[in-house]
Amino acid sequence: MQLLSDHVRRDGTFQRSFVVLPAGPRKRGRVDKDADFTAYVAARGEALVRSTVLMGWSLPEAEDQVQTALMRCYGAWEKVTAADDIDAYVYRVLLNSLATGRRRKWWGERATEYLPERPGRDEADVVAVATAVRSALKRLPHQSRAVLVLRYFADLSEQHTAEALGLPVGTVKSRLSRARAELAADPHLADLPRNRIRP
Amino acid sequence: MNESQVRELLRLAASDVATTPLDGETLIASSTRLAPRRRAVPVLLAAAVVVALGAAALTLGKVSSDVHRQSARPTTTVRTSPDSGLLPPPGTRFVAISGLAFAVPSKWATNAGRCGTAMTDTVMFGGDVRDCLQLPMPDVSALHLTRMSDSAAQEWVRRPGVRQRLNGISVKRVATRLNHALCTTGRCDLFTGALVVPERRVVMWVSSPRQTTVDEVLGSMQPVPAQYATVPNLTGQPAAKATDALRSLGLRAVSLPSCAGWADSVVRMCSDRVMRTDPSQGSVVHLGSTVGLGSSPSRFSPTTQLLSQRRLKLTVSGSSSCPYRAGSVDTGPGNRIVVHMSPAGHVVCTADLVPTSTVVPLPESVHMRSKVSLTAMVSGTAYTAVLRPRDTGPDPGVPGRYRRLVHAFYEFARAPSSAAAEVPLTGSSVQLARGPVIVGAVMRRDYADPKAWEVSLRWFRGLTGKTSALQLLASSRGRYHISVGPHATCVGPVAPVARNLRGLRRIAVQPAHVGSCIDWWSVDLFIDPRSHHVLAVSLDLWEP
Repeated sequence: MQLLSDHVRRDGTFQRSFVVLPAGPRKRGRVDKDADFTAYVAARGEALVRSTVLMGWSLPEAEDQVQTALMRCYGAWEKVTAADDIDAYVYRVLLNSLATGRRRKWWGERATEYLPERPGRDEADVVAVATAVRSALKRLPHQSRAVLVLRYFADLSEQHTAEALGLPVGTVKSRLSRARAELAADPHLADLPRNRIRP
Repeated sequence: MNESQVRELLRLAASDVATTPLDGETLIASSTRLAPRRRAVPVLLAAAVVVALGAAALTLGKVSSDVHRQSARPTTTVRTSPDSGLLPPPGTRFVAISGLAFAVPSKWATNAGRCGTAMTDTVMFGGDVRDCLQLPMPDVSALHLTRMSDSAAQEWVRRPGVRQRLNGISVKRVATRLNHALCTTGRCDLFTGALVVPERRVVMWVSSPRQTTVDEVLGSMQPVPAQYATVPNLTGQPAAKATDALRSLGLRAVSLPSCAGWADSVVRMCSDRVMRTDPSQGSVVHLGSTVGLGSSPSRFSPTTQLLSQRRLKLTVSGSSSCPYRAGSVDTGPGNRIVVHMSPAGHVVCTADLVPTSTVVPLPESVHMRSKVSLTAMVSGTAYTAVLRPRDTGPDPGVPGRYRRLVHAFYEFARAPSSAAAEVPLTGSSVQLARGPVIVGAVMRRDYADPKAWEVSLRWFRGLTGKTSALQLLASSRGRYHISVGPHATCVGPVAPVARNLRGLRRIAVQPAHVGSCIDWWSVDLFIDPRSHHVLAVSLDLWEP
């Protein structure tokens, strides 16, 4: 089994590499299961967190939710690995976790994204673009946002995006088309320097 | 917008997310710890059904109303004293809010929490926590006593629950069981239960790794009898006012000697106001009892001497424009305490390398006028930082040339004209920036036109409409503060600047007096260090 692994370099570019999970019969030992799971978390953990942030969650919340989803997946790892597409399965679990997570802010504390003493980094352009894109994403309907992130950021196929969201493929296609049109008309993105969007 | 453009945008947005790698082995360990309890749930449910059936069979012959009353009866037995007052069950003490008392174990501390999170078994008052840090969840029990108006109480007010009468008081009972993936201790499950009491406008909730603790504490709720009073929260009040408040409740006040022996909190303060009471806030005492008021007008704890002995240096950092100053104390190689004072009425104290962060509610007056001494425990050693109100005079660190430039720019902002623009604005154009983004430029021929300086906020810092650096500067009426170089926002990290302004000298002008950070703004002049032309003007605002 091969997994794409995304790492962000210091300059903000992605490094994409393959991680190979050991193949074998479905009923394997605990050690194999743990090794598979650990490899998957290492390969996919950060991409899952980023996807969750793009879906409108803050970074601490996203990390919390992804960990919860991964722990659920670990409990049924045999089912996960038996799935047609592991990513689609894990994203489905994550989306369910996000849906219930909205109701879990019981604790009085508010997680902040940055500690107060964190030194400021002068990355004005990156911050501006990222903020504009996230603002534009927030204006999209919840389902359209999820479709967009799964299809274009998580690189799931249309079929697997549909499976993760529990939607027909035709609905996924139409939502993608509509979401792209809405992004094109979004005022937040209209302010971006043109060279930030590759033609 | 085509697919490749969307992919590129999402990639850019994701690249700004500073994730940390997840550790699969930690997740496996957490998941494994939870598994036995998950398997135990069906067994426990079956046991509960059996017990319930047995109880129902035993009480079958009784009157149904009696059965109903039994089910609502508290699980903690409350004894009544001979003078018809109340005595807590053995090993417990009473704490109260709005005339409702709860029996908690005597060893539970009061307000032993950081950032709204209980650090040990404790009773915590108030639930209006702002400017918090994320903390790992410890394996402790806590009773939270809050007003319905507190932000943290809203969750319980909204949540559906079972309405019942508890000791004659109408309540809504809410119960949940939670699992926290970020827990650092052995147990990751927390049982919680809450009582919402609309008639008293209060919400109380207990969180504990043990369901029995939740049931016992909440079940012990009862009205405080007439012969008893509840020690109020007197923190921050002048001693005379606190004494009067106690007298009006039928209690007597005595002064406690100093704050040196105060050891129930990570952060300690000594000031000319009440900083602690003995017994602590919320304690239920008999009328006529004596309550100690702890304050220390001038004496500092011995930790100040320790600081001096170790030749530790107190430096001032953070925002130089706000009336709240932040101090930091170097406590050794690579170790440092940073103390932030926020406008939300809290002091946030964080220490590098050690998981110490504390939020202590403070009255506004202490922020604004008094000198405050903060002590933090770092690796078992206490360190003290002294915070002083900011002096409002001109900053001696700003060269006179820049002070004159800012004054000329202020005069121009107050009454824009071509003549007034000639002194501060010697270049052919000035770039305008909104925070870290360049949004336009003003040409020399338009300098005198105030509209040319206007910047659309477009939800910048959650604001809309238009404003301009000239408007903001003119609103200061000449009472502004000048600083050179990078600066923080009112309460926050150093604000980034646009990339093409990085090499320029940055002169920040901010209001000298702000009641809160909502009134804060900053107009930064970016000056060419060689030609001394003002090449750009940026504005920043505090998010409401």
